[in-house]
Amino acid sequence: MIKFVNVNKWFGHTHVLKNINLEISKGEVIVICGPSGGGKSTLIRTINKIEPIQQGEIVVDGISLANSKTDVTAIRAEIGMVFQHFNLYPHKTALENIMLAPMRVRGLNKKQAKERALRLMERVGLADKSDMYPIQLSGGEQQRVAIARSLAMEPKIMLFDEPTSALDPELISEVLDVMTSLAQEGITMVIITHEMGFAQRVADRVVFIDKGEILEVEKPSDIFVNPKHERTMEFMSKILHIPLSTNKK
Amino acid sequence: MITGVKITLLIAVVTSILSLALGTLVAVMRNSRIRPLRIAGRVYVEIFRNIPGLFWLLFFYFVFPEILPSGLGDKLNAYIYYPIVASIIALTFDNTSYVSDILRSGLRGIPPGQREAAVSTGLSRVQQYQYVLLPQTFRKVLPPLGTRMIHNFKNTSLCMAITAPELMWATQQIESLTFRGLEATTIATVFYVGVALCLGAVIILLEKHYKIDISSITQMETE
Repeated sequence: MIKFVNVNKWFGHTHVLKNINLEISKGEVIVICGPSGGGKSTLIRTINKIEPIQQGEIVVDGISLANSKTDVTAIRAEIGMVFQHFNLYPHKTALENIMLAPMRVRGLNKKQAKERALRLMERVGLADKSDMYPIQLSGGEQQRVAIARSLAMEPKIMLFDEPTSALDPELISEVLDVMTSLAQEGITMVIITHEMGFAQRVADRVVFIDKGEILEVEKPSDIFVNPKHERTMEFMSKILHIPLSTNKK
Repeated sequence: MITGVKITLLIAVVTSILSLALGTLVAVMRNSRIRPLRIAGRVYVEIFRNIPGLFWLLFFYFVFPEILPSGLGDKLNAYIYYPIVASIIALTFDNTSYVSDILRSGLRGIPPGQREAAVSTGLSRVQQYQYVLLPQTFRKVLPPLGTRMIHNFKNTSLCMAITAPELMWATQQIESLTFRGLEATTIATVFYVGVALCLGAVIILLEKHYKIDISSITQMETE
């Protein structure tokens, strides 16, 4: 579904992605973790070309993003993205936020778009908040609307860029619950998160990135309990608040 | 005098609408990825903002017909409504430079995440502006934009310099024909103040109407 081949990216002189090679198959749920500034966000943003790359190739659903003939806008319509700061449109109600792209990109009429939006609001548990503006919603509610907005395009891939990092602790679970149910439906998901319990439950594989390099790609059961790389171990023990040790030493 | 009022309102309304449309275009140009467009927008603003409006009135009335092919220029000079047309052109260009700068600052103040969200759902560039960026920009810059429009309204009085028969010109005519300048000027002043106050009230009403929107836009910025 998504394939990175020798991907390199620089911000000025800073080498932010170093020789990334990764293949994600259809229906897989991938969790990306690693220290901040390590390139997680940049990596996920190259998938829908919000961030362009300088070297290598990214293939999404069989189409190369590097090809100049590729209609990137059309590919973006197939990839949903959820942001750390929700990025809901503040001048539109929750329902209007969800309806915009289906109407303007997919060509749905207002009635169809509204039906779809209401269905999605129900699905994320916010049926009664349809006519509220983002400012009237809590962070967790805003993020669930943002997820609904992405789902309204019926995407093949969903990208989550630290979806719970900006939320109060007691609001995190309502967002994770929605994401868990999505994962069970078989949509391809790439998630940046530090919620390791969640990763353990839903991820098929966990990717550990540091300083622009993929250091480990493992099943969650392996990477948490038995990380191969020293950096991974250090990171995991800090984030899980438990001392871990590698086999060597 | 009634005709003067009508002409003043005509010039004010038409130039406001045109400069809002053109100003949006120039603001978007200046925000473009394409360098020549950015430069063109910048040059436009610098030229029209830094030269007095009165100069542009005189320019479009006296000079512009001269630099056109002579047949066309003569026709313009003979056209009895040309002073009004020249006024509209000059004030539109003048006002556009300010409007575009107000909109540009508003556009720049919208968090990049808004565009990213629009991009990620597959909206095209035009759609991003149309549905996401510009509606927020207009709500945000409502107060300075309103002030600019009041300013533009008062600027119509400059058009008397090129004999456009607007209110100020009519007042002067009455003064020179009947010597009842004080009465005429008083009425004109009351009219200017009255219309400007109404404009101000409309802006406040609009701000109230979009209250939720505006406060949320400014709040999201501070996040």
